[in-house]
Amino acid sequence: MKVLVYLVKRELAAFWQNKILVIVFLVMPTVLATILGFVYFQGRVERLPIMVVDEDHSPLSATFVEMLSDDHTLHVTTTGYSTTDLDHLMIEKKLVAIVVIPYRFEANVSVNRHPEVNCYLNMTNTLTGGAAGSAIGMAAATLNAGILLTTLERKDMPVSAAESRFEAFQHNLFQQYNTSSNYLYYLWPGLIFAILHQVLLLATAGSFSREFANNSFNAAGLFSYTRSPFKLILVKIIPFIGLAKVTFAAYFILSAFFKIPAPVHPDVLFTASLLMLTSASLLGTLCSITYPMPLHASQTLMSIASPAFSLSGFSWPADQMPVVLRAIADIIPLTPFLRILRLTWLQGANIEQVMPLVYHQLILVAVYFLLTYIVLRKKMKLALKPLPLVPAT
Amino acid sequence: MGTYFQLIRREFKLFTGNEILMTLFIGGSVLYSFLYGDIYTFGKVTDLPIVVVDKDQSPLSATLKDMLEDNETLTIKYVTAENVDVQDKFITEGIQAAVVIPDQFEGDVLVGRCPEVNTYVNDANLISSGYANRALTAVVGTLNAVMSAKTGRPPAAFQVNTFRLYNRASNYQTFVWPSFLGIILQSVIMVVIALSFASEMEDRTLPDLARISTNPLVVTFGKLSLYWFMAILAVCVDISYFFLFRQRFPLHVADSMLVVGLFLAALTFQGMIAGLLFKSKLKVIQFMMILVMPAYISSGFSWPFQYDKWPAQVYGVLFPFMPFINGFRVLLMDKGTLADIQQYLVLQVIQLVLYSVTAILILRYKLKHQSGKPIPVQAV
Repeated sequence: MKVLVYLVKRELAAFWQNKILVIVFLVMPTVLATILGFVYFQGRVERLPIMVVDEDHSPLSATFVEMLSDDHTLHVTTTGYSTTDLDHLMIEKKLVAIVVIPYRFEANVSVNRHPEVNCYLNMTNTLTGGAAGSAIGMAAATLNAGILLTTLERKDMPVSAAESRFEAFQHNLFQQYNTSSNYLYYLWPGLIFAILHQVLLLATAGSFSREFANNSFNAAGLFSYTRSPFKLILVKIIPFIGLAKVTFAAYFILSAFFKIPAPVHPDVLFTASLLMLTSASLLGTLCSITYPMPLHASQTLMSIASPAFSLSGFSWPADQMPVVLRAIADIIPLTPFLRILRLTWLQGANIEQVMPLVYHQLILVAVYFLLTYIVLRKKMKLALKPLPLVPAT
Repeated sequence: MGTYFQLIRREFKLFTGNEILMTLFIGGSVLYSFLYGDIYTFGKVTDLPIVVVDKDQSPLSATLKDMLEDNETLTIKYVTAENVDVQDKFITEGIQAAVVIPDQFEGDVLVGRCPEVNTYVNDANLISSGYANRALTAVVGTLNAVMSAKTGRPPAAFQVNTFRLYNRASNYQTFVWPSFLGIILQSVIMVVIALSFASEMEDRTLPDLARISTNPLVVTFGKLSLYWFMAILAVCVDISYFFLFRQRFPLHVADSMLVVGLFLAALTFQGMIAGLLFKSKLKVIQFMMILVMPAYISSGFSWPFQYDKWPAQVYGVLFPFMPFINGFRVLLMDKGTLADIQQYLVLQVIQLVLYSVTAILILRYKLKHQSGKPIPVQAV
């Protein structure tokens, strides 16, 4: 036990030597998480600039324009009266949408001639385009329903009966789990843990390769304390898992600051994150034994960590990707964790509901531990083999 | 001119002798661009699993189910008669939506009693929920319109036609594609150049450079020329990917090349500053890699830049990726010209001037102060 504590201290002292790594591991995840939180601080896009071309100039068209500007997603920045040069205006004024109300709009509505309102959406950014599209659709549907109700009322139909007159049936659409379609709730948790995963891989990349570089991977150095590969692996990963848990706590405080609802089952999240940190640090250690140069180990791990977030299916759904990419994603420790993260944090899943993913994590931990153990034992045997005596000449 | 070529030859030898630089450059720019192209192969989301709770079991509810199944975005995974355990399926089976058809649905429609169809959409992932929302509204709306007409209801007072411009199919690949190429270029080129300068510092070869030339301008251009040339090669590879993944190509090629050129130039100087300051290859890799993702997110590519809070805006403006991607997107998608992206161009030029002057000043300082120092003799 004493040896273990001593070795953990030795590991921490070595970690403290590289000041850049200390900053990257302890400070940057929190700083970057704060910056990312500020990106999505509003959570929803608001006041998207749109233009209304009102060719009609009537009370009804004025009502429609007013309804559009009352919607908090939209902001009518320009009102035009003719459709010339709209293409150019859209780019120049960075408009997200242009709504064209046709000439004689009110008159045609009054005599039941079904005029057509044209709406041009700028889909360069699918996020803003989609938001503007649904807001405009909503405003138009409301106005449409209002006009119909008034028409029916004028025909002496009571409002309650009129309401069921203009549609065969009613369609209610409920958005579950993230009812306000908030981008902060949707992306931020995944992004910050992707950063934590990345810095953990970086930090553990140095664990054994540093011993090689310092020439202490031998009987006189590291093995003078213990020769058990199991203990050595533990010693190498425990300090980093402990430090990463500090960042985990910092993330919780940040999430309170950004007013993200707390998970219903924090214990599930805690367990899953512990498993993720364990398998990631084992993966880092494995690379670190395989590549004796710290630079090589870091580089290999970065090539795994950089695409990890996109591959995990956190934003673009994993089942829409080619099979090969899905297989690659499945061996990265971040993938099952991000799935559990979303299920527990946003959807309030309990431990039984995420059990298959927990098994996935456990398999990763077991496989990475076994591989690390085997490679370490092999390298240790090589290092401990007595050097052949050179015959004196 | 002779010293210039001498420097280029020296840099080429250093580059080919360093396998890390080679793998980073080739693996990074060639393979990763390919990988990211593959992630979004289909560009649109198809076959999202949904549950239909059919309490009515009538011909009309069967029609609605057929229509839902026929929609390419949706696929019916389960049909149940009762609303039991559906909540659980959202979590355990990743169901995207549940459509609940009420009891007496057909009967109520026929006698004009306006029944209500409820749909519950899983909004945990905003990308798939957006597609599901749109598909469900379209399908249910179509049936509604047909039934309204059949039962003699007045059609809507007016009609709204929606035209999606620039990316008509809301294709997600078209949307993210240029940004991934840009961010890969940014990280690869910045890190490779930072590594090259860091290795000069680490191996204490700055005096060798000073012997060839003490003029920081000559040294800078001598060292960077090779990487500029290779950056152009990487851009050529990226251009070929535009055709491989069948993406649209910018209409105003010369304008786009100017924007790309400014972007690459600013990157190289930023990488040079990092390499000179960190002085160690390992530290360069450790530090620079984690900056990439936040730079991508705060650039305003998907979440609009003007909706970032100021700390995120400050962070985004520091990287050449931000003005590049916002300007390039106008050129590529909207088919705009340089006149439409003036403010981004100005920002690009400011970044280039700022980073190049800083980089050359730092190099001048290092050349002066390091070349004079004798190389420390290693203790035996």
